[in-house]
Amino acid sequence: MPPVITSIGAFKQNLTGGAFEALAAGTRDSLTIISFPDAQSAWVEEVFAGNSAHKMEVAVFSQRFGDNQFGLRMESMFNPTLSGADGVPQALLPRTLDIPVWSADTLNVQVNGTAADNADVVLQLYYTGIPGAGQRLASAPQVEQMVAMGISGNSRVLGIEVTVTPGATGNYGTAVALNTNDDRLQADYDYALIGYTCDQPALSFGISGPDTGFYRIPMPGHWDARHTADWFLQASRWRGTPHIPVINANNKATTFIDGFDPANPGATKLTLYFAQFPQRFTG
Amino acid sequence: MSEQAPEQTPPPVEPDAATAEHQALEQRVAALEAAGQSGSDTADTPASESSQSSSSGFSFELVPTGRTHTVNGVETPILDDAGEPESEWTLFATADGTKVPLLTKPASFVANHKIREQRLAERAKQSG
Repeated sequence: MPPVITSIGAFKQNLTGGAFEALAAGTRDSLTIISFPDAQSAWVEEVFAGNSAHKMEVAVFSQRFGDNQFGLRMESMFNPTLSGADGVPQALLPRTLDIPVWSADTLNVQVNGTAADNADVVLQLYYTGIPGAGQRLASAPQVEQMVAMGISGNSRVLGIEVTVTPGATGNYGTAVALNTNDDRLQADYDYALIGYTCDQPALSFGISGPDTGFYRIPMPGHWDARHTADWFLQASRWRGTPHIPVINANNKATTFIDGFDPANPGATKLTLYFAQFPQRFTG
Repeated sequence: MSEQAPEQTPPPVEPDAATAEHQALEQRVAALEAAGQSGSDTADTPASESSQSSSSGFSFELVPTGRTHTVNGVETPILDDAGEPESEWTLFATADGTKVPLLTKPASFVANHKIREQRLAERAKQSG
């Protein structure tokens, strides 16, 4: 049973402010953890948060996740000196300390912010196995070895541009196919998605398609490209598990990217870094 | 005591790329204003008030981003929701008669904040 990386996006427009208030799940998302067998495990690996106008506090909890009061309580910073998105996203969890979740548990995602603000929070989850689902995920050594082979191994690294506009009201925006703008992936080859860069910050982008089991894999749109350019490579190194999505070029038109942000940042150019596998990736 | 060097007349300054770019930007702003697009979505705010006539000051203006992306192999302007080339709000400072951009924010982002202020005003009205 192959592992699955996915995310839960939660948002609220027009906060009441002054106390914790619940966020609702974004389109196609649910705050309930996917049911998995006893022999499998799952964790919240990352929490990305963003507010449209102020700093805020974030709480993720359930009876079995922390406690049923504030659980994991986190502070989200606001930095208005940044162009575009005011310091969104904030990555609130430690890099390698992942927090277990229970099968079918329902999480509460709340924020305590300023009145009239918009808040979005994304949880990145990793399941070691979900019945009937799976993703093609590579590990860092597999990809590094392949890239090092270079021309002799017929491996090349490409950046594929796609323009993504997050939703205007804090929810996911219209999904854009991977090959909409830049159709250069070579037919029938597998590509490892190492990381990405974006031309303005945004809370999170999601990639989903046949190779991800149609689960949305989150990609925080951090302003510092050092964090994003090798995002999946680093995620695999930090945890020692496969975290690098592998996309087959033949699925380029059915692999979609969408965006999620509290402050309507508008069209964002995103370049996805792909390393081509010389042979079919077999896992 | 050293002798003071004779004052030299500076050579005439050739317009460099940055100046040309700035002039092009101003022309685009003028074209936008002429077309009635500048501040069209925030007509109730004095955002596009210009300070070009003074030697120092600030202005906040809607200018085209000029960004393009590849569509079907052709570099094409990125369009906004209305299908027009996208714009962004730019905070300019005029320092000693020279206008310099300090900060940019996407037009959609500023519109989002305008909605926020309207919500607050509505709440104040309801509670007052």
